[in-house]
Amino acid sequence: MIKIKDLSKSIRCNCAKKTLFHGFNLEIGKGEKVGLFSANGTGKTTLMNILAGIDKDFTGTVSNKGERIGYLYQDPQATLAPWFTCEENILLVRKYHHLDAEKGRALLKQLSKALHLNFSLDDYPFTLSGGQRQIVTLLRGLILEPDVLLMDEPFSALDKEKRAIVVEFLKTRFTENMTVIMSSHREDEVTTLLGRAVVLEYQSATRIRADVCLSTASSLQNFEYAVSESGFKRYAYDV
Amino acid sequence: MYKNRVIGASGALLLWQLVAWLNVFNPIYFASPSEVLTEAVKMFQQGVIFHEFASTLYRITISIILSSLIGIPIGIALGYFAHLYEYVGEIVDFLRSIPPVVIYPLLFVVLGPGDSSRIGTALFGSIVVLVLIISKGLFQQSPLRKQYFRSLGAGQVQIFKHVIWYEALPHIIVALRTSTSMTIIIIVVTEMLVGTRYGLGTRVQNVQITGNIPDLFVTIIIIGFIGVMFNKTFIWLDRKLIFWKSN
Repeated sequence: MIKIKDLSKSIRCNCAKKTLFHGFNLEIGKGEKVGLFSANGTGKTTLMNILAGIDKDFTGTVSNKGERIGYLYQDPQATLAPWFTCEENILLVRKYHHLDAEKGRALLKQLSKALHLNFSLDDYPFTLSGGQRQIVTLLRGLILEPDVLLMDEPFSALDKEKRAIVVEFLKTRFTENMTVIMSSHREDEVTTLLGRAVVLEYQSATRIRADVCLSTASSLQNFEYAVSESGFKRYAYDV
Repeated sequence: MYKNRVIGASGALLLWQLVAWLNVFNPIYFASPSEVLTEAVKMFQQGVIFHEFASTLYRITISIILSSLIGIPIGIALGYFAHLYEYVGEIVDFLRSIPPVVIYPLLFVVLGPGDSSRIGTALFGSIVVLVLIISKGLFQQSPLRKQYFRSLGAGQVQIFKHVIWYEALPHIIVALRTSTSMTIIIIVVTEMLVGTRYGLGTRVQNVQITGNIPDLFVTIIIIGFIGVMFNKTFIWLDRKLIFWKSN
């Protein structure tokens, strides 16, 4: 279970201090598939960084100890090591967690096959397109067989066709016990991949505008209403 | 590209020969390419220049190796542990402001007139350059990749091996190129200040006595050749080791 309690976090924005979170609370149960939705600048990525342990400059408590976390960062170029091949980038994380290397290689082969890769994993990341790099970070997140998978705008660089393949692929990879937290501008993915939607809005600090289960039609309507009222733009796949 | 280089070099040689023919400078102090070539052939036949070249090259190479062994780890450490730089940053800036050659008389007294004092002076100048360029270069790197690898479960040693070392490499090569230029200058100048049995700097100094201007020109060209040789080596290393930057 992930428990965020009394989270407060400020950032520097054009030399001014901006309060991003103030007394923010959120609980996510084990195995839940949660989407975070909001307009730009409301702190989705900051929240992801805090959950991943990258950002430690906050007050409050975030309990995710003991969980193995896979994190798909928004900008793959910033986190992939260009001096290692894609395969090395992906398999390194298993080494860090002392996981079986042979099993990792076998899993990678299986995942790559399911994703119909149009590039070789022996390539270096700097030779790939933005979308291909995003696929590499997806594989890096999954190769860890994580308890928690954090996905920050995981489809932003993918074209329509590839996105459909990845969404279908993820449906088969999201296990019952895997907790998934995904931030996205594209709410279309919600209904197919996620079970819960948390709509955030910024009013002097980020707060939860709506927190809905997506299993019923009435919940979906609530979600649609919250989204339309929260001021974040709805994006179509073809944008 | 190769053709352009040949054209450029030939043009420079022609211009030099033209300046000599037209007596733009006093011919007593200015040698033409043909005079320089004749003198070079004579010097190489006598063979002493090989000893001069080898001795200076040896001093420069030893200085580069020693300064790398000391300066690169310090530069990386100060770049990685930013708070450490806060303690020593002012000292490094102060040392950088001191012209290395003024340290030579002090080292001459302490270490004696041999190679130790010359190499010591070169180390003083080049280590400061290495430390500054590498540490400042690492400061400019985004901490994100490092933090991300840590969040993936990498330990300190793994972060160093898999991230910091590679991020430092481009800065190390730039620092080596800059510090090598500094090393060549210091070694040649210290050879000029206090004579050695063999050394290109000493040979330059001796021209004051012999007045053999073509000899001076040949020696200057050889010193330049040493600089170009090291520079080309570092450019080659840059292409080989930092392949992700050039692509």
